[in-house]
Amino acid sequence: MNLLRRLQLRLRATVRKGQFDREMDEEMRAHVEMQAQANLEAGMGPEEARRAALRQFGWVESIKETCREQRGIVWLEHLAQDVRYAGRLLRKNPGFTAVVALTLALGIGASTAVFSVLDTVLFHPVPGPEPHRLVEIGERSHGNKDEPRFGGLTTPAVEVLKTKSEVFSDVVWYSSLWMERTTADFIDGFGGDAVSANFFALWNIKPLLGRTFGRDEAVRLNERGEPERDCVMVLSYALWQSRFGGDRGVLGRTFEASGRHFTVIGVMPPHFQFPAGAYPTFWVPAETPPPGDVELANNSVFARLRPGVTLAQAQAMLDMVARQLLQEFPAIYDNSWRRRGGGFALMTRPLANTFTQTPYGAKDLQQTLWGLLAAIGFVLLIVCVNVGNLMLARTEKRQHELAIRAAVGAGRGRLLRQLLTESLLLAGLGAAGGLAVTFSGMKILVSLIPQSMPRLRPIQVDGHALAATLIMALGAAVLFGLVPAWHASRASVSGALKQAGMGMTLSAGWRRYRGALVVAEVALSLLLLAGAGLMIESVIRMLNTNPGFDPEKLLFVHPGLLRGEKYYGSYEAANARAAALFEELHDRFAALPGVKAVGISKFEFFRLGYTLDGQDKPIGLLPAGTGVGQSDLFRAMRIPLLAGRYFEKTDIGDKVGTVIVNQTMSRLCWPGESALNKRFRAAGGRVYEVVGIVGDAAEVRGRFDDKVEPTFYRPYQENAHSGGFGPYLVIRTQGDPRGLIPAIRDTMKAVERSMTAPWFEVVRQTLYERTQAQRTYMLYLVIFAGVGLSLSALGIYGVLAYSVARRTREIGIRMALGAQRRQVMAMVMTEGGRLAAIGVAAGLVLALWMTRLLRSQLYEVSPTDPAVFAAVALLLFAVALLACLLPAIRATRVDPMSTLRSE
Amino acid sequence: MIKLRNIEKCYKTKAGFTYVLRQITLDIAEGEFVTIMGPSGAGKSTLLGILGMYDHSWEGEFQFLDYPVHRLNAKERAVLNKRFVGFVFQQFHLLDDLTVAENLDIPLSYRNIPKSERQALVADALDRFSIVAKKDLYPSQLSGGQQQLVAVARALIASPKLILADEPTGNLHTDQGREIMELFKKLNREGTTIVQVTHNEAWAAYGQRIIRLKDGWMEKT
Repeated sequence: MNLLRRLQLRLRATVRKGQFDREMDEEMRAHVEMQAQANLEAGMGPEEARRAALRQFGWVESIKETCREQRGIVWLEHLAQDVRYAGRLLRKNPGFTAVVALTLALGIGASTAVFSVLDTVLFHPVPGPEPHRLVEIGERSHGNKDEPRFGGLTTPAVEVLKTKSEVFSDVVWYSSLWMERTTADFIDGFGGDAVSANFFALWNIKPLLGRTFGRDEAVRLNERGEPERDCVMVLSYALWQSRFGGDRGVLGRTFEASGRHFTVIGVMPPHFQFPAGAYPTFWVPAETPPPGDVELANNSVFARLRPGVTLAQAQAMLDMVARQLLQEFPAIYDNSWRRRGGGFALMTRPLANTFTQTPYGAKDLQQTLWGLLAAIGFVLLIVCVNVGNLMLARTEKRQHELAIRAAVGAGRGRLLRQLLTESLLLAGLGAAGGLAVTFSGMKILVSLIPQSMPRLRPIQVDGHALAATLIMALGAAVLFGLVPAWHASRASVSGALKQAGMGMTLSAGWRRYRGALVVAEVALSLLLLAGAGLMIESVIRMLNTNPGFDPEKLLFVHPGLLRGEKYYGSYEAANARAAALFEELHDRFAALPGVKAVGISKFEFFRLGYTLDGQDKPIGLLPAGTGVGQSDLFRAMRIPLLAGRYFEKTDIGDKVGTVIVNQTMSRLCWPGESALNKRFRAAGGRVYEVVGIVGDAAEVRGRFDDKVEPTFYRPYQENAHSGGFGPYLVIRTQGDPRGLIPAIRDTMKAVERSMTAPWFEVVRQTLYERTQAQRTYMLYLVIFAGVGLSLSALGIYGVLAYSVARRTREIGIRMALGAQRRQVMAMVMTEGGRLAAIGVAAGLVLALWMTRLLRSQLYEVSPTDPAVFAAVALLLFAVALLACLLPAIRATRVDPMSTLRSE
Repeated sequence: MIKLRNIEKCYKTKAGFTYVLRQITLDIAEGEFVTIMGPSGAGKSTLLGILGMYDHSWEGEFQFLDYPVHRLNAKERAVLNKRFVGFVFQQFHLLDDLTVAENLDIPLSYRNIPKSERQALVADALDRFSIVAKKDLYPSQLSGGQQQLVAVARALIASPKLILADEPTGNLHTDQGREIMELFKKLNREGTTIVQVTHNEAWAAYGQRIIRLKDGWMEKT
């Protein structure tokens, strides 16, 4: 009979079981009566004949049992019974149920959440089919670093690449675009990108609303990179929300900016955060990149490789294009600064690298996420060990029950099925909780992602990660629930009943096994605690680091973009206007109530080359600007003057070469001697002379561990309007700097309306926020370490509580023989303390080996800091001893007389 | 019903072999009420465990009804046990997380008896032993005597041919013990074969025959 037919018959028998039972009863009775009749005819008495018939035919009920087993789906009834019983058991033990379910939920949920975010952000950031065929193309740029950086492309290079269709099936480019709208307040400025018309086709992402560009909608760009005529626009989700209130009626709406009218045709989904990250942005279609300054490599380019074309082949083609451009445009591609950077060259890399190698916080995020994944891995291990321990303990306690069930007729399979049902039910609760933790955890982790980080895929639960962690955690619950049951089912029933009746179990071996599990838990917890302790120490040092100036009650004011030289007609006019504006702003701010000092500051983005007197090889130094006199930056920020003097008004002017250097530059350029009166020369020939040395001041917006650049200061006026970062104003306040912001805004509006809205930085806040990644990582490590610590304590408590219960008789005898309570307590504490000590020792060895992986996250803290290690070892040991206390106290309360009487 | 021939059981120790039962040969007829007595360590409970087919490490011949138990494997013996034997333990061994009714239901469930039939049998047992009012209580809510009563009911509910009782009154007061012994006597009159282990001569007198063990040997009478 085939399987389907058998199943069909069993289903029918289950549905019509009443009828089948009646027929079976009648048949059984008929057989017995026939046999009894035969026995009567053979000469037996009536009673004897019937008994013999029953004996010969076999026991009726047991035959019925066998028949029922053969037909129907009996196991369904058993399953229902087991589920009911399992549910009751879990309800009767709410503490155990809650601990196991929560433990599983935490392990499953946290692991899946972290891995899901990692998958989107790091492992598979590019969507669509064949993401490996998408590449970025750029010019090799040395910038400020020794190793080459990946830069943009010039417009001529983009035009050449678009013709290389034998290598690239699609080439897209984008270039940043700035738009302005006049309002009653400051000029409303917002940034976006001019893009090739085929830009969106490359990403395989549908817009949330409307559509993207058609090829015929591209417009030409003028010299300033602005559209020459009215055109269409696609909005980012963030821009749609912030400027249009998320109005679904935005499609077809037209608005004016920079003298043009733009019609909104589409809105991209929230996860399309490319290339600007989560900032509000827009896209307009352009025929070609901006014609502007052809020397500048301001265009970003991406392409899709044709099928069969490798990255190496594409690079070979780019090398050829580079040679071609050098030949055709030597003035552009063979200029001095390209030669200084090692010569003109084109590079290509997989697009995925763009997401993981951009400088804007990606490195911190990567390290944080990898670190979290490692920590989560240890938590998951602790979870599995803890769940295993709890399940072992619980099943051990049920040896008596299992023996009774076997004694009243349960076979091994039935017992195992019952325990499997219980384990699966418990594991199911944990899994359901795990899903909830996953979704919550992902929301929290997404908030970690820096706004500037580009993204193309939505962050979703990763099915593979969920399945893997579910299998691991549930497997632990099922395995540790079943193994003792299988062991018990093989033991002698009478032996098991006898031992269970005496308060013993068959589990001397399991007791050692549980002890080993507890040691493992403690060791893993110590590892997590060590990591958390190191991060806490690191963050404390970060936050207490002297930035080189007084950050309290300090406000930076950044005026918006001002009209440049194209507006004023010449560089000199623009410069003079900017300098006058800043001086006026300085005077007005200084007059505001609550202001103690105002300085002016400016920095270049990169080091430039200068030659020291008596040397040939140029050295990279960072030029910076400061106000003079009352607007002196050093006095406003309280950067100490270590030698020489401050600037005076006579130092202003591009014919003057007096400079103030910082300590880093002094040590770098003139080690072991005073920098005062020393000279150095710019590439253009201008000579500078050192008149003052100030202390090093950390770059507020940089990473916490950025080294101070070798910097020299000139009065800012000679470069007031262009290049670098700033100028900006530095205000020392008497009270909370935030309280002055409205007055400052009003003052700026009164002085100059032709600027975009200013933005403000409370310096203390900025310094705090730049440690966000480390603080967040520290917080998570602390949480994970806390969880590990709690689970370890629970594990030790569980083992000891069970041990005390098992040794009640022994303790009763010892006390009857004269043992004092403190001796009994010491006996129990020693048992627990031994486990904890072994675990702590093993954990220290593990931590000494593993914490070096934290090195890149630590600030001025060694990964094996002895003070931290000692502290966490003591903490863990103390908590472990505390966990031993309750069972030890219970042991001292054993009444020897009632214990021995019950024997 | 039961034929034992030269049953022996021993444990291997560092000093050699320790015999718990030596050359036990006895017959028990159907419908008999037999008491096994002897000092502590005589092997009484061990013999009962062998008779109940819970214990498998012994030698000799054991015929139960027409089945050669000594030739059956552990699984086959478990089937025999399930079909024909009910066991009453000294420590009651009720399931603490099940009610009285559920404790009675469990052996029936393990015999794949349909729910409706099980319910009828349980109701019948509760009534027969006058514990209907206790059906929803848990063992911890019962006195020792009531627990043993439930244990006896559980042993009988699947209509076994043989009841084995290991010190069934060992944890009970005299009055409770007497109740249990009167119950056994009644069951025996109705045809159930009973083999009990006891230290108490008064309880032993309820049986028809006493088998005495000493140091694993059967004393000759």
